[in-house]
Amino acid sequence: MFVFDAIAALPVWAIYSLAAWAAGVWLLRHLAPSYLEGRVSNPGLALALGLGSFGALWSLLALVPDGMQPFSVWAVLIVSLLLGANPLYAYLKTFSFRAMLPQQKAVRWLALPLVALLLIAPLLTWYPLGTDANSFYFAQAKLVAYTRQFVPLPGYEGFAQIPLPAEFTYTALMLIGNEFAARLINATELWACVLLMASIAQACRLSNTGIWLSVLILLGSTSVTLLVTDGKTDLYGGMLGLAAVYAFISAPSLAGRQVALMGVLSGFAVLAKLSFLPVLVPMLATLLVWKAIAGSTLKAALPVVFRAGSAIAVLVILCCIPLILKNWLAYGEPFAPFLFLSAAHDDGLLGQDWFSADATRWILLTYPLVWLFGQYPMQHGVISPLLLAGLPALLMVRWKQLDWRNDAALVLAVAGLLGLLVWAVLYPSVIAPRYIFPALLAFVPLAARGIEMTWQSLEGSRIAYSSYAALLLAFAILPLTYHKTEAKYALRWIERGPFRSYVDYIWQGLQVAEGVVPEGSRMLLVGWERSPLQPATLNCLITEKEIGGAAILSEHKKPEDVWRDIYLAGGRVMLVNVAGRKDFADKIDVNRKPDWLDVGAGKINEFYTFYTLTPKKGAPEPVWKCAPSKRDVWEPTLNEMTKNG
Amino acid sequence: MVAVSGLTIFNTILKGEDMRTSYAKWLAVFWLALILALHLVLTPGPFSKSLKTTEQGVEIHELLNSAFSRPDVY
Repeated sequence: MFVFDAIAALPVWAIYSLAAWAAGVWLLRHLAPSYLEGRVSNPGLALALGLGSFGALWSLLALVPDGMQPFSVWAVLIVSLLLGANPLYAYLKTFSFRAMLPQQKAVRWLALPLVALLLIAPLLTWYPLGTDANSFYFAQAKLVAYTRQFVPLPGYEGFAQIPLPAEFTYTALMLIGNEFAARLINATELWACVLLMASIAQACRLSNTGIWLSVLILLGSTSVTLLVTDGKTDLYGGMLGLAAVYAFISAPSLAGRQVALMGVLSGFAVLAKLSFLPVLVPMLATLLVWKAIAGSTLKAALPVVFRAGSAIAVLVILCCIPLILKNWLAYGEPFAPFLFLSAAHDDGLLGQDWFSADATRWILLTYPLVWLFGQYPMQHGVISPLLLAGLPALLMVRWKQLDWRNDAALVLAVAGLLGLLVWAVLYPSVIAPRYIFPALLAFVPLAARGIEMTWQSLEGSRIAYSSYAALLLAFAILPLTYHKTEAKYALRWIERGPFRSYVDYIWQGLQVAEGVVPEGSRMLLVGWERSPLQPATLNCLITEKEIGGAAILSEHKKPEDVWRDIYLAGGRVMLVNVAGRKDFADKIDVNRKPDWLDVGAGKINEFYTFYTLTPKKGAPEPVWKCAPSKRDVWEPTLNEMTKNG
Repeated sequence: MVAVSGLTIFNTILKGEDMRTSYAKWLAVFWLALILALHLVLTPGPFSKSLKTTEQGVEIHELLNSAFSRPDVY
């Protein structure tokens, strides 16, 4: 049965992706038609623009009561297909697939494993969700699909202040399909990233071999490919970051329409991943200045830069409207997560500090190698170390002969370096490539050129040339070997169904606890992962904040009071991740409870223990319960009996 | 090794030679092989897993990993 769910997800995903592509082509045709001409690999730009526009649209629809409906999603997709069908067909007629194929025989061997990886990407998306997606990104999407409008995920109210276009994309696909369809979109985003990287390499005037080497570096970056399998939403951001860079680097001019596209894509990119803001500002400013002074003087270019820069800034702010509205309506904080009207809503999302001063010092000392070889907790992959193979080869370049004004790869790398420096100053301990993809990937075309130069120079010696080719082939095969096991696992998970596409012990813990929650009651979840829960349970979860937050753990708070507060909040079950929340597990004591309450405990597995709360005679009525609203959505509701009492 | 690499590169640049006429071509192959080896040892995957099945392998992994990361420090 679940296999049918997986099969049913495929056409839904295909229609969504096709509609996004059509919408992107239609928008490009009206916004900046020059981007549709004469470039073989720019389907990535149209795809990114379409997916970004859909994300922005869902972000607005999610603010309307009952706005996220299967009907509204289908309506958007059908309109997009109708509008974009003709331009897409016209575009496809001029599209040359052959021009994308590797021309050199040796490069064809490199391309084979890369294409194979791209082909198995849809299957990889069904690998069990990683911790972050299981805790927030996928669970938030699931909740919105249930409530049909934005509701902050219980337990992550503060974190839900970030823009959520990628999560709403999951929601849209869940509404018209299922969870399998939602996760498949990561494959589309990976393909878009590859096409955009190829487009950027092409805009940097790299040869066909250089373009494929750029793709090799991108797909050899585990920080990119890991995002396909774990359900996080950073590929969406990475795709839009690359799209913004491509729009800047390949803009034929700084005329109105091109600038509009640059502004919209910059806005989408920043909204998709807020951490891109500090790196994209210096990067895109560098590219803008470079574009403006091409064939001109700095003095003459300054007004152009100012005009274009202002227009782009205005468009970025306009793109933030859904975010402003969301945070204003949900939290009364229109400028969150940047500025807060009330300190109570500030969860310190922007002030991230991951490691101790000592570890941070070591990170900075090992810059930039740490991005290529580091294995820090939460780092989640590296950028391909092939960057190291390519960049030193550029020392062989006769620099005096270099026409830097026309060297897009060099300018892009300088822009990336500026972005990286700003990041190192602002967030030295945050060592996750996904946070600054545009800056790190900006070095790819230059490195690819270096590798190509080196490889070509070895042509005189057959042994050296073949050895170099064999090593590059090993780099191309590696991503496949890394993900082979995941593909096998994913196949096995399909049989177990979309709701079992989770890590076993988490699934088991949540299922057992959820199974004993009486109808109308709520559950306190002391842990992170929550996606496998039924949406109604998810919406009715008791949060730690609700029963005192950090004060629960204070020595002044008696265990009896903790049980009382959970019970009064409507809780009849508590599930504790004892491995991750030892602080909480140590605090609770089943023997110290109110007289009117029975507390039972059961160990589910090594990680989870659940507790049941059963009222005895003389127990007060809980203040809260879980009840269906007028819209038939189960949500925390004040208990009428206590209200009247 | 670093000194030899550095000298080779500087020699190549100072003489204005390209790789066709210089022994730098073998340095390029060696350099790529070194990067691949580091990547294989450090990146979690089948290779680092099989390396870590022996005591010596664990030591090598820990030594190289400690050069780039402080994985146990929060």
